[in-house]
Amino acid sequence: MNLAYIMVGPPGCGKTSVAAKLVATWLAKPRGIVLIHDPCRDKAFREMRVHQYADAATWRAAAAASAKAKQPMPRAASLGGSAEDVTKLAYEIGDRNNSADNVRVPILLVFDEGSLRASSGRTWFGAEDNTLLATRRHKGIAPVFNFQQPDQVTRAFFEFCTDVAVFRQTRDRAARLERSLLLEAGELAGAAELERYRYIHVRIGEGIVAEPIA
Amino acid sequence: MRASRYRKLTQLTQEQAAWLDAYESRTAGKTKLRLLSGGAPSEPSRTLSAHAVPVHETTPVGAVDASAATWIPTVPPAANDEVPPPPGAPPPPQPGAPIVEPAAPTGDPQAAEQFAALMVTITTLGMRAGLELAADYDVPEKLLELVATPETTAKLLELVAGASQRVAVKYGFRSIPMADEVVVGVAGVGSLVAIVHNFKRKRSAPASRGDAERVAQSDSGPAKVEPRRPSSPIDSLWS
Repeated sequence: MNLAYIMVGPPGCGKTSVAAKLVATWLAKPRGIVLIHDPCRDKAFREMRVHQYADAATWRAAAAASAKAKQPMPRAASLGGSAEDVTKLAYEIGDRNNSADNVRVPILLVFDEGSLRASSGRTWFGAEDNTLLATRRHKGIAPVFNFQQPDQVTRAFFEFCTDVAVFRQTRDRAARLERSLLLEAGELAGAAELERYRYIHVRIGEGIVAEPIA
Repeated sequence: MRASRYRKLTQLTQEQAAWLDAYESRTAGKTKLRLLSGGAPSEPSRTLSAHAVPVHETTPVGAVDASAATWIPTVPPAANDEVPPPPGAPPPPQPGAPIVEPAAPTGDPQAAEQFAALMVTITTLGMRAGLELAADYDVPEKLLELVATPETTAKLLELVAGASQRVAVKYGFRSIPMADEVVVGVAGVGSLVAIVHNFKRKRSAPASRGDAERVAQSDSGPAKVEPRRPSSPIDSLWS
């Protein structure tokens, strides 16, 4: 399992809708859990009836109680609190259950609002994110990041991911994204004219691909 | 363009292909346009391109009841099960509880001058070059140390913006968000990263990159600071 997604586009362009589709796809599989850092409690996840937890600690307590009582708990969870705590939680679950050749609990880790994360920024690629993205395959974690602007994170951040949904961008941002996504100059020129809810799917190393991201 | 990429790019939906065929026959011999819409657009795009770019449309998730999908955790995750420090080791800094020691550079003018020079040079060279350069400097660890958490970063910015003194930041679990209008220099030695505020500005308004550049351009050394430019709206954020 080697997946890491970025959705990048202005507010209301459809990033969360794509993330929600990824969640639905994940839940359609026989195994796997979903952890969504969603302190804003986005409508898309509410409509899917994703169970809400105050924070990672609350989820831990619920999981411990479920394990002890051998009672089921929701596979998908919307978590408030800090994004860093959610990252640690996912990493810990992955560490305890998964390895590169034996992923027992695939984890879809969604950050619905990338700006709420303090672990990376426009001028640095934090150690926490470096670890998460570099070892995600071993931990069975598929991270999903929603960013409103491509400049919110560094170029290295994009290069660590596998799939990027590019929503409407200004021309200069599209040009910078081309470099971050290892595309040829001009390939994302059309992103400036994308309508709402439309995106271009870029697979890092392959370029623009025809199939949708979810 | 590589053949594989071209093949992927041309995997259009039937609707897209039909539109493209019609368009190409209509504009035979003319410049080709980029297909931007997932459907058949009424007006062709203004963007010129030799190929069509597939565009996807987000669709509603539909009737998905996430609460119906359940599992039973087999291994309860344990919280805060970090390895305890060895006996005698100093206590680790607690996230959210910054260790701010108001060690001031006032008693060490030589170090202060050194830092000012470092600040100017690094501001000029940029962070990477600055980190390399800083290896040649003996950065005094007695300066303020912070663990860069969001909370302490806010404190850091407060200190810097308050034009109080120089600040060194211990490079820890996280790095430091740098606001150009506030932070005027970055240096590092090993794991230590220093954000240095020009102490000459102690009682003036916060420094800006423009100010730092003026300092860097000064012929007579870094200690000279030209009069500050008129305040801008962004300055008021930090005053």
